[in-house]
Parts: sequence; structure tokens; C-alpha cells
Amino acid sequence: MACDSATCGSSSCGSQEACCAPQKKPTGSQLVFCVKCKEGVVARVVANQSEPMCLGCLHASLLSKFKTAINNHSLVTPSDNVLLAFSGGPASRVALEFLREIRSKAQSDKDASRDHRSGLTVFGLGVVFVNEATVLQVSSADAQLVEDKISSIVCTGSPRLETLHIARLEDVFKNELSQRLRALLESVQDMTGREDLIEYLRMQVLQQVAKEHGYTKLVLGLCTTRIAARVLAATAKGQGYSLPADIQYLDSRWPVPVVLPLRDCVTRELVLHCHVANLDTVFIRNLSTMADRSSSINNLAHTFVTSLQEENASREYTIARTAAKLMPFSFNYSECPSTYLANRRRKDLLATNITPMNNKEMSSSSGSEVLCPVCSSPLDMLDYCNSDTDRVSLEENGRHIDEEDLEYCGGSDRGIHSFTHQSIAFQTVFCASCRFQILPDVHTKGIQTYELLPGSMRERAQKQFKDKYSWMRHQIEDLLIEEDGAESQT
Amino acid sequence: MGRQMCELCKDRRAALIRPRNRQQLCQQCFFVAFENEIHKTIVDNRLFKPGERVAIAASGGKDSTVLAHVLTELNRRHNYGLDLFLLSIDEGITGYRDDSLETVKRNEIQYGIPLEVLSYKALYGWSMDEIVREIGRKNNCTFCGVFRRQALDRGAAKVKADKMATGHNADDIAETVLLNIIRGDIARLSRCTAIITGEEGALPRCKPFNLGNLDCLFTYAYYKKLDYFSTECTYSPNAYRGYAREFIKDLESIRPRAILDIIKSGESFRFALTTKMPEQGTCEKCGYISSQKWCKACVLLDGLNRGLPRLGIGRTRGKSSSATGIQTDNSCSDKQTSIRNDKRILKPSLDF
Repeated sequence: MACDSATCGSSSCGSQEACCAPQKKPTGSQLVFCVKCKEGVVARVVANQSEPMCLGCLHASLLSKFKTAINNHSLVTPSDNVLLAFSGGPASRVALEFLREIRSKAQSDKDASRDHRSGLTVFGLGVVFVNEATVLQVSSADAQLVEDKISSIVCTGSPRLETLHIARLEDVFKNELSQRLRALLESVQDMTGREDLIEYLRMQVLQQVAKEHGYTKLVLGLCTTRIAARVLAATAKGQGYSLPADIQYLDSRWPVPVVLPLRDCVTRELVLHCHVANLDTVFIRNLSTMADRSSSINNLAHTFVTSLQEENASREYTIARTAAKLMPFSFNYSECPSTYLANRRRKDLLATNITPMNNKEMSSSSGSEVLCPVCSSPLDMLDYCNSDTDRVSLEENGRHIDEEDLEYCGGSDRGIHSFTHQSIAFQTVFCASCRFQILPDVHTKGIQTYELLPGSMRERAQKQFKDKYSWMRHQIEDLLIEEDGAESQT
Repeated sequence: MGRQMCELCKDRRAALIRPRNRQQLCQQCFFVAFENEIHKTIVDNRLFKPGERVAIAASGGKDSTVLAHVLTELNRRHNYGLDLFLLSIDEGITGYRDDSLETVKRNEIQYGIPLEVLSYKALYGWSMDEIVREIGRKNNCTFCGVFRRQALDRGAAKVKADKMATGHNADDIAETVLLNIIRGDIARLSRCTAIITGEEGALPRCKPFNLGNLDCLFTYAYYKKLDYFSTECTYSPNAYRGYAREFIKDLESIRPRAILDIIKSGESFRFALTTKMPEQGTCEKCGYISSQKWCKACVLLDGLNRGLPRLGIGRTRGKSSSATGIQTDNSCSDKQTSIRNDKRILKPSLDF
């Protein structure tokens, strides 16, 4: 009875009897017909805010958004080896299904053209699941149960099985220390900060797996609804500068570039599709499950977007589109833009004889963003170069800073090696948001959180601090009187 | 925990905790600290020049009363050399504005600065009571907001003001940032955090309280025993702004600094240069600033006068005047003549 989405093409799904579970029956006795296929097929669902659609067209509509995103932004090319970050939720479930469909289509195209030696290749596909059981301290049996469910989904329903990698959040520490992960999370008092830190650690784990197994793209199931909530949450966290980095189709600041092909799909439709196409999902508890809606800023923003949605169905699109008008960073563009584009740009330039107005050129200097060692968001150079311009924390820590600074000036001739992570200046290598919600007291008593961070994050912080120090030194080079000791230390 | 001594003077007992930095202060030190902050904002941002005639947009509410009080005080104390006066708009809302106007009239005497009152009835021929009777309780704030903005500019022009100061506080600005994100209004989003807007126009506006927390203003008004009027507008419960306000209140309860963080985000948004911004022009009808053929006030007024009050509210596809149902033959009724008369004076700034 189930309508297998892999075989149910947009046009072939004319016979509704084959599809199960009518989601929203047209009210009354009057039949509403699908507005898409115009073949007199009875509509079963409402998608795109108000369009009655048949199930086949819902599938086609979502798939076309997915494919358009991939094609327009070259998210996946035939030579890629794609790793899908699979959470078991509806978004990544649909992404898995769509990637399989596209892949099997590509495979059959390749088989058909084998004789012609056209050299067609098909992208590789793997799936990764990060088990976060440690965070909630669930028993290892329950954790195993979740893993079993995940593997039962991934290892069925496709003729060519994908490799499934199962990782644990504590893998971020080289020798899998769940104790240390727990201690780290417990050291972060702010709930929003804790949630965010888990997300940053998860990305580290995903990257580790992707790098280790030679993947070239990492697909996340981030959809419009979650982007809208993220935009509001990031605004409330003061991340206005770095916000655009996380919500673009492509994000290549990581060793393995991250792509978001579901960026134009809303959760509601993805859930609907999972339901009508009988795609199994797994519900996994996380920190915000059943928590009070005001447990964290992320949770609050999500509830807010949902409530706005009830009043106006297209609100999440509007919010996501507003954020899309913000200037992305250089790493949000594909590395080698097609020559066609390059030529066209050059022509435009010659024709108008002005400086290029293209996004890519205008986005801050190519690839030289300084990233926060914890959350990897680009740092606002205004904040970065002028230490402690952060108005809010200045006001909050005003008194501490005065005292520390005095102490600090006294020892200023000790050179770079005397700078420890307890110093005020060290704070500025982190973004203002992380400084507040994850490392609020890195310069005072509690250096604990910092010490517990994964080695990779700490190394980056140390390196960045050294770089910053030498950059500062470079700025005042002309004013320095050379001394034997001072030179050797830089 | 017992009561501590004031953290600044270390002499008197602390009477309050400042919400933004948890500093425990005595009353006197709080007044000084608060006034100094406003003074610093004014000086750092060069909000005023000596000799300027500054209109204080006064509603009789807490924010504008504190603004009137603090500006008069600072003007005297630091010799700004400003010619201050209060400007009030009478929207004609029975049970709300009539009472708050009484407060403003008392303020006029208390602070010894002149008051100018302009009414919707005189300017547009409609009071809010009449408009609400026509349109109902939904969307009425659209009329009130659009009309007041223009009315303030007209009032300021009438008494030849050089600048206008409004009592918008950090909470208001944070709300506006969120609303503009939710509505997708890029143009307003890009300018709503600016402390001075419309500098290129004839009447720049400034917000000396742009970083002042609501609680701070409230505390100040409370301890100074300021005479202000505190009732929610009788027509406002359905305003869309309420959504954002509630969200911000929730945010603030989790993290008090979220309000300043929203403003910080608003300031650091960088817009892609390819983004289309509306072009600033003037209304063909009244000469007021407008990105369309007619300014919003004229469109709304036209709808009211023609008995089609819903005109100009909600979604209008396409930008041609025919799509919005505007009469283009300019057959004005008497009610519009007052607007046409002072066409020349208006080159004001855009709202935030």
C-alpha cells in the first residue's frame, strides 16, 4: 500500500489509490483537485502555503527544490563523495531519500551510456550518525537501541546500500572520554551556550569522520524553518555579523565543505512527505526536548517562529529571505566559479568601468576571515582589532577589566610567553557570543571550560592569539626600539 | 544577603540594582550615573549643536517624560545652549490621549519649556476615534503610526525646529530590529539602529536613549517621582508589535543582555550590495518623503475619505497606483487641503 517515493515519480503517481494516509482531506463533499498536475487528480495535502496538491506533486515539488539548490550552487558534482549527516529526523530522512533517488537516476544514466565511454561518474554516498547519548546520560542500552534504529533505516530501502558511520559526540576528544565531555558541558552554565557548544562539537565530529573516510562534501538537513529560528536566535545572541555564514547553501570554511540542499524546504512539508511516503524517522531526545520553552534562546526562537507561522504561513520564508540579503563570506562561494561567470563579470566591469559590485568581490577580503576557535564564526574585525569594544561585556565586566589591566601592565615586559589564557587580551580571540555564553570567565577564576575544550579548539585559540600578538607588534614596529631580548621572542 | 553600600560613593546604602550590570547603587549615584550616560551619548554622537531648536516628542508617557526631564536638566547643567520645547500629537483617542495630554501640559509648567500640540483632527480631518469606528480594532495602529510620524514632522516644521528628540529606548529599538527581520523590511532594518536618522533631510531625529534599558528609565522615573501617564493605548492590544515585544520580554528573562545584543546585531548586519533598496522620493500629493507615488499617509487618508478604509492596508501586488486603487485625478476633498497647503515645509526623514 505504501507509496514508495523512490518509484513514485511526479507524473506516474496519478492513481491516488496506491498512496496511503491521506493527510488532509478536502473539507466537505466538494473535491479539491491538485493545482500542479492539472490532470483532475484529487489533492491530498496543502503545500507551498496554500496550494492543494496530490502526493506525487508534493514529492516532485520538494525534490525539485532540493535539486535546484544542488544544481544552481554546484553543491554536489559527479566526482564528489558525499557524506550525509543523518539525525533520524524528517529533514535528514528526506535528504537521504532524495540523494538516493538522484544517485540511482545517475547510475542508470551511466549504465545506459556505458557503450559510449562518455566517462560519466556517479557521486559516492555515505551516512553518518552522531550519537549524543552521553549528553543526556542515557544508559548504554538505550544508546545502542537508537543506533540500531538508525542502522535499520539506513540499511534498508535502497538497492545499493550506503556505508553507515556511527560516531559518538565524545569522539571529538581523541580517546573517547565521555567523562570529559560531561565535565565540559557541565562547566558551561548558560543553557543556550551548552546547546550551542554541543552543536559545535557535533560539527567537529562530523568533520573528523568525513576527513577520515575521504568524503568531499557534508550534507546537512538544515531547512527553512530551522534557518528562520536560527536567524532570530543568532540576532538575540549578538551574532549579527557572522550570521550569514551559517545559512548559505555552501560553507567551505571547514576541511570538508558543508552544503545545505534543503535550505528552501520547510519542516512542515518534510514531515508531511515522510508521513505520506512512509519514510521511517527516529525520535531522539535532546537537551531541549520537553524542556520549558524559555529554557534557552534557541528554544524560544523556535517556539516564536512556530507561533508566527500560525498567523502567517509564509513567515519562515520571509525571515530566511531577509537573512539571505545579508552579505555572505568568501567561503560561502564555490572555489572555482565557472569561467562563464568570470567572463561575464569581467565584461560587466569593462562596460561600466566601476569597481565590481558582485557579492564575491565585495565580501570581505578573499578567504582571510579570522574564525572564532570555538564556534568557527567569522570575527568582526572591529571587535577583533580593538580589544574590548564589546559594549555589553565592557559594561558587565567593567570592574574586573580595570583591575586586571593594572596587574597586566605591570608585567608587560615579559613578552609573549608570559601571556596566559587568563589574560584579558586572550579573550578577544573568541567571538563575543562565545565569550559570554561558553567562556564567560576565561580571564578570571574559571579557566576550567577552556581547559576542557577539545585540543583542536585550544590549539586554534593559542595560534590565533600568537598571530594577533605578532600582528599588533607589526602595527607598532616603527616605534619599537630594538632590544636583544625582545627580537628573539617574536 | 544584607543591604550593601553603594558601589560608587561607598557612603550611602545601596537602594537599587542596575539591571544591565548588576551594580548596586544609591539613589543619588544612580541619577548621576544615568544622566552622565545620556550626556555621554549626546556628546559622543554629536546629537545636538549649540543654538539648535529641539523638539522633544512628548506623549506624556514614561520615556518621553524622562527625556524631557533629563534634556532640560542636562541643557542647564552643561550649557548645551539648546532651545527646547515639547511637541505633542493629539490623536483623538478618548480615555487615553486626552488624559496623557494633561500630563504633558503639567510638564510644560514643571520644566518651563513651551508645548505645541497638533491634532489629527486638525491635520487630517479624522480623529483616531473616528478612524477606529470606520476600520475596526484591527490594523488601526497602522493609521495611527503613519499619521503620527508625519504629524510630528509637520508640527516640528510649523514651529521651526531644527531637530527632534524621541524617547525610543533600547527595548523599542530591539523590537524594531526583530519586526523588520520578520517582515523582511531590509531598508528599515539597515537604518533602524542608527542613533540619528534623516540627517540629510530638514528635520533629523535622534534617540538619546538608544541604549537605555526600559527598567533603567522606569527606575529613574520612579525615584525622581516624575509625573507621567502610564496606560496602554485603548486601541493597541491587537498591534503586531506585541508579538515582538513578548518575545523580547521572554528573551530578557533568560538573558538580560539580549536586548543590547539584538541592537548590536542590528548594527553589524552588512547588506549585500545587490539588495534593492527603495528609492527615496516625494509624495506627488503632499510633498512628504515617500518611496512610492503617494506617501502612505495620503494613501490611507484617501481610502478613509472615499469610504474604502482598507485601501493601503495589507498586501497590494504591484506598485502602480491603479493596483492600490488610488484616484489619480486628484479630486481632493476639503479634508486634504490642509495637507496640500504646507507642501513646501516637508522634506523630513524616514521612519525607523
